[in-house]
Amino acid sequence: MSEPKNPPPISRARFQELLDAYGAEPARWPESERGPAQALLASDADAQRALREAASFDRLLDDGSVALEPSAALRRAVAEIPLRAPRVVAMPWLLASFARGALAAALVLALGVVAGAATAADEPAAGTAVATVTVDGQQVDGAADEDSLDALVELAFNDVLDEEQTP
Amino acid sequence: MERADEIELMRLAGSGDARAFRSLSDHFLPKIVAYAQRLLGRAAEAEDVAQETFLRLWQQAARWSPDARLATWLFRVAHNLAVDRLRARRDVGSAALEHAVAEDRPSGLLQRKQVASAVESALLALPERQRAAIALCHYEGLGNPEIAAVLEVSVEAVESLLSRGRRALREKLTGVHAQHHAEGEGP
Repeated sequence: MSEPKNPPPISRARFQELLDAYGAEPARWPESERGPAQALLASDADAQRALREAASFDRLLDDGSVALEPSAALRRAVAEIPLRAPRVVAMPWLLASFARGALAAALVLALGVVAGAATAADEPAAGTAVATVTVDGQQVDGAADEDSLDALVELAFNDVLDEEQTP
Repeated sequence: MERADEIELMRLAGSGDARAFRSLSDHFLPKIVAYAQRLLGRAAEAEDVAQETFLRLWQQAARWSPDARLATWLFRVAHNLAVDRLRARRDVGSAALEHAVAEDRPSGLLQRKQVASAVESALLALPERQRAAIALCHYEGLGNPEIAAVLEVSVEAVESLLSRGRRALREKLTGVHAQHHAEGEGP
């Protein structure tokens, strides 16, 4: 909804309320009242005096609270976040489902090959094989049974299913 | 930062572009550190909060919706992390907030330090939401709708928080203000 072209004037009392809440800088006043407040200010000596008082208090707040600058160590740590932090991969639900199936199939195939090779070479326990798979930067050692496959797939897409607040 | 630049950098960061993330963090990190410091009064904790905020940004960038304002989201995450720390302090009965003044304040004239100490103590003595509203409005320049989004209150409530906060500050700083004003006027 757009603002009216000629918003109603504001009272002296309302002008004081604006100063009391937002201080003397018009940019901090609510947009809808900025014009009327400045119009009052242009013609009202009491409003001008009140503005000067509020500006004096603003200067005290400005001088009294210096913004902390980020340290070099913090800047470095933040810059390195992409190198060390896992990522959330956004996927539409259908694509995620397809990818889940494809990953599961690939794992079955890979583990089957490993199991077959191991069986041919020596004497592993029937129905199991040892494999190392890297998922999302994490190395997972697992036996090739159904539970471990589920765990691997879950690990790969856990973040996608996460319901965390998003930016 | 222009809105279009913000959207493009977030799109790139969401696809894993570390340079885009770096551009965003270079721009927003000082604001987030300063805000956390004003809420917490302790530089080391403020930096921890800022680092955690940007870690979450990186982890969540791919899910970012261009409808959202990034600054608002960052301030909200930092606010919530800082409030958690304030509550933890209260739970363990640690030092009063009034005494948790910044330890990394830049050096300067003694009088300036005294003013800074008085103002920071007065800010830290405010109730948490009043302090946050003043930090976001006066120091960070956010408008009412953005402050309302960060604090998760109504727009009307923001003005009330600001009014009560500034009134309390004026009362606490009456003497300092008079001296500061007189010195500002000059001989």
